[in-house]
Amino acid sequence: MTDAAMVSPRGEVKGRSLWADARRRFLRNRAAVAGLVVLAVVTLLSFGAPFLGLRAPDDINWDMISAPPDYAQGYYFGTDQNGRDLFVRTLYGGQVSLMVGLVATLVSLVIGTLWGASAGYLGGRIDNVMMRIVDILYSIPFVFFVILLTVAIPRNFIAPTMLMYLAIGAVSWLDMARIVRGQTVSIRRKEFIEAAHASGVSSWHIITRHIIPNCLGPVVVYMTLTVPAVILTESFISYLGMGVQEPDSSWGTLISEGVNAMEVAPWAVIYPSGVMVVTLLALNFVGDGLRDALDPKDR
Amino acid sequence: MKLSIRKLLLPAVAACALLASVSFAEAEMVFHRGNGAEPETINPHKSTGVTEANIEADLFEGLTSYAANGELIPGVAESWEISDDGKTYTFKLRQNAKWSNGDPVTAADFVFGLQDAVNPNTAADYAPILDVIVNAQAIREDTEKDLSKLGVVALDDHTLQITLNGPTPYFLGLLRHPIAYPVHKATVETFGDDWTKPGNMVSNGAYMLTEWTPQASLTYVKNPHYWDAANVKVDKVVMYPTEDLAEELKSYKAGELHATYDVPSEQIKDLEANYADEFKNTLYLGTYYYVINLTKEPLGAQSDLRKALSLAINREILTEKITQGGEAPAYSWVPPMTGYSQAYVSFKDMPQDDRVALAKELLAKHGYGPDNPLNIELLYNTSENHKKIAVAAQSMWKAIGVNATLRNEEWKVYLETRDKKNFEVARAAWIADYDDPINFLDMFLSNAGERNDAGYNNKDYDELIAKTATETDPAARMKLFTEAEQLFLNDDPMIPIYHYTSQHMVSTKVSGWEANILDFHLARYISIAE
Amino acid sequence: MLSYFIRRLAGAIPTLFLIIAVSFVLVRLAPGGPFDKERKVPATVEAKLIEKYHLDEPLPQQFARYVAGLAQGDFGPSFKYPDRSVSELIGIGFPVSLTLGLSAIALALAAGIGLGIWAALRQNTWIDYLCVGTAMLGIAIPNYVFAPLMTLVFGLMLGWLPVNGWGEPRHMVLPILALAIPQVATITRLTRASMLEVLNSNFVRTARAKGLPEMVTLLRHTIRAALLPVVSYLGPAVANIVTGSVIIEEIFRIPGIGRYFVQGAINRDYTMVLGVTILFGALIILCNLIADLCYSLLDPKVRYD
Repeated sequence: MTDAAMVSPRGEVKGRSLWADARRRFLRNRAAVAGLVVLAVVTLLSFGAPFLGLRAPDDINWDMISAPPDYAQGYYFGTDQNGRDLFVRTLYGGQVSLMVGLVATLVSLVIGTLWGASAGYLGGRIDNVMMRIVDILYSIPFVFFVILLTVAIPRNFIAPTMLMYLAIGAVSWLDMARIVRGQTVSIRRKEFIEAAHASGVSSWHIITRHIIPNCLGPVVVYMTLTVPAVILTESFISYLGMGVQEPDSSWGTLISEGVNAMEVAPWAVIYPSGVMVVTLLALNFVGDGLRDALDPKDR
Repeated sequence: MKLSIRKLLLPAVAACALLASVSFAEAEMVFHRGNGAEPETINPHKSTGVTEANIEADLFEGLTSYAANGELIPGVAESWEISDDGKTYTFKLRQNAKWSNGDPVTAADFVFGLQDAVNPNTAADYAPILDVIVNAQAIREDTEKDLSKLGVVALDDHTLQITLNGPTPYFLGLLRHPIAYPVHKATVETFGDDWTKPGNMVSNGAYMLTEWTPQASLTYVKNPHYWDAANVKVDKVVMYPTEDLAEELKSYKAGELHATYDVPSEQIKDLEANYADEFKNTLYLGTYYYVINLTKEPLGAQSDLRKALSLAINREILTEKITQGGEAPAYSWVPPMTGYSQAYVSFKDMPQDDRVALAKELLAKHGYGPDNPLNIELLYNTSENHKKIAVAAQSMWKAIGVNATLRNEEWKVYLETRDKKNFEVARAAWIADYDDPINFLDMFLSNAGERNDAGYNNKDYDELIAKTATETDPAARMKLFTEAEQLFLNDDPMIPIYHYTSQHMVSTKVSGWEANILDFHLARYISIAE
Repeated sequence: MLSYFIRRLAGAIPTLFLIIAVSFVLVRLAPGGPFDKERKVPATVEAKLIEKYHLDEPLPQQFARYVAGLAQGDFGPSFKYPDRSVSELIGIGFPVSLTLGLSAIALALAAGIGLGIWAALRQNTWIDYLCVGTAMLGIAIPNYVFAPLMTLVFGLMLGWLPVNGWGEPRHMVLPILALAIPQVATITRLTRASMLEVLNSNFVRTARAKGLPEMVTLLRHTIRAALLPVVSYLGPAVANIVTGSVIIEEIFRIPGIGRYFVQGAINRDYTMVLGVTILFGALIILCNLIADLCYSLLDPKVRYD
């Protein structure tokens, strides 16, 4: 196995060359770089919105209720049914949506990868117990679970936006754990792992230095599926009217407000969902680029 | 691998084939109507919503009924006499009124029906509106165990006498509420709670239930035994639960529905412009308002501050730009009603600029201003429409220097918060159960309990309302109501925002649909051209 | 194998029990009750109802009563729909939801695996880009945007299919598509990614080098191994479709049970929320179990003993 050759008996990866290599590969992938640029622009605009000298997101213009885009007056995305600037609201909504995606995915990445790799590597009874726990959490239809949480926990107790971060984060690591475990189970019998084990390398070391790097391909691919999935989940719950609440808005709340008037005010759904779709696409391209860059088998 | 996928596919394919074999047979004249939501129950004594009332009005008939234009007309009772003191009603029932199984509808059926409605074991939410009948309240509160003590007596098969506690001019209108519909004794006794199921139900209206698939449709067909069956044109009515208004409208435009339950407010402007013949929009007996919690400071103690909040709300702009459904800007609590002259808030005729100036002045008087803004919290329940109005109100208050925080709660939480008076200002609304001012004004009696969401407590007001209960002259009674409402509005315990309108799309194929303030459209008046 | 299956099935019972307990506590934790209404229910009426539904008992006792009922297949009375029991409503709605969900899963698997394999075999050609591009759009566009858009275009503008309703095959096309498309997209990507990985792996190279005919190589090694992540994804896919059905059923006016969940949660129809959650939970447990079995069938290295 080529991988075994890359690893010294003490299990130290030659990090510098691997990451430098990966960066070079990533930068050569045009779609991925374009995705990264788009992502950076959306993120900067969203979080920089308060400093751009735009209208306030709650400014009402009574003469521009549900008005189509008007470049002369600077309403690039038109206005919503309260006469508020949709461009500004989309940017502010991006803050919430991106934060939900980021927080939940980080949780998913850290907990899920460690959990899945440990279960898969250690095997036997421990695997059984660990995956049983995942199964149990899994089998609660998790959006239902989030909805029940938003119903059960009063809004004056915790802000709906905060609750969204926590609730989605708490449930979104499960998929990752299963995928990583599946990969680990098939990796753990490979010779280089057995060799490492035989030479007395600790389990923790094997998991973090051998198993996880070798799972990175599927993990990165799955992660790029998780961020959009999380953003979509938040928007789904907001669509049901149970997620983020005024004065906050997210892409999900904006789209759900727009979707009812699709026939008469298409801009109210096209622009926010356009921004969301472009962002999700960019995330996917970046993810694919990362996968190709990190794939050890292509080296 | 292949096997497992095929295994997964099989049940789906089988299910598809099964469904394909089911198809609908079209009857002669069918009326497809959007009806908002899945009916919770079609037991007229237990139901509470508009959705259910629409169905029950077709399936059942009370002593009085609705004309196509909503006016009160004789129902099962063909005539009645009212005693001079206004307390005793004697109804003559139609000889030819029949149940859907052919049994005659008798006075005993109404005795049974009204007894069932107030019977504490029925646990009817709406039983209190029958409290005007002698002993009704005692029976429903379980202090009087003998149902026959209820002031409803069958003098003979076709003569019914109802005795009331006091003169009640709206009593005839109340009799067309579902709570006063008769139910078929033998059926109820045979099937228990299951009597409302298709196949079991026996009803006395123009239609009888044939099919009820939850969340899909509820179907009823013409009742051949109905006394006026000869004039009933539509053979079959299908009511659909249409929760998603945007989809309901599409379904209507695609020709799947003849009439909609409602229309999405976002699209009203477009419908008015492009579907003028089909868009029906008329005033409805309801008021949308912001109630102020009088038990909380500083708003509770300072009527000036409450008034300032009310002054700042530009109702014209709100109804024109936000709700857009032709709602009437509200300056009174009781909506426009025949025979009643509304009282108004003091500033009704003041231009908005002056109102804003006055509001600022009132705030300044109590030390609030740009340096020391008044902070309030506005509570509303989760809904796109409530949100839009709250956001607008927030910005209008901002203009007079009031900082409003929006607090959004999900329906049941909101109800609890409101009942516990845990709010400062809250969105609320009331739709009339029957067309009489008392239905609005009795809410703010000091002994109305949780219903009195402002915590309003005014002895003079209580006395005025009490007086109306014994007033036999209808005009004098209405004057007392106006006086009471004026007293109430002068205290500014609420900010009336608009009086509701009802909105429907009705196909040009449909005739006999008359817009009316009660928004009842019985299928017996409808006919459909093909 | 069989003993493993039975053991897992038995293991599902505590899982299900936990779901019931967690959901029970959560719905009961929620402020407000089933009888809170805009028009206040008279005190005597509320007392009667509370007594009738045993809501006055301590929670553990209510829970025991509920579980005892469940053991006999009784989901309890519906608070919101007093004319019917939860079992009756679920009995009517579940076959509809199941038909919808299974059709969507079947479509998602067939289309997703097919497209994924195709794209991988034609890597870096226009076919690949088309499949990947479509898949990405399918993941990115939320189905509550996609569904109304489809009813608008195919139902209203083109008039090819009914806008909503249920009962005939033509009613099923749009909702099944709306439910399946995000899953098709995900499965396409997963299949493609793992196919590429396997195609580039040593054992496939060795097989090719040995001179085995291409098709045999593909079938014997590649697809089998490449499907592992897809099989892992089966559980989440079912869960996603179940969740999606909540809004798809409402948008298309389909009489399934997904609609009852949100309504039940908002109206504090405790038994209804629990019934739907338990049923969907059981369904997902079952699908996870099936996925695990498929996994062991596909990957000879994984043994359950």
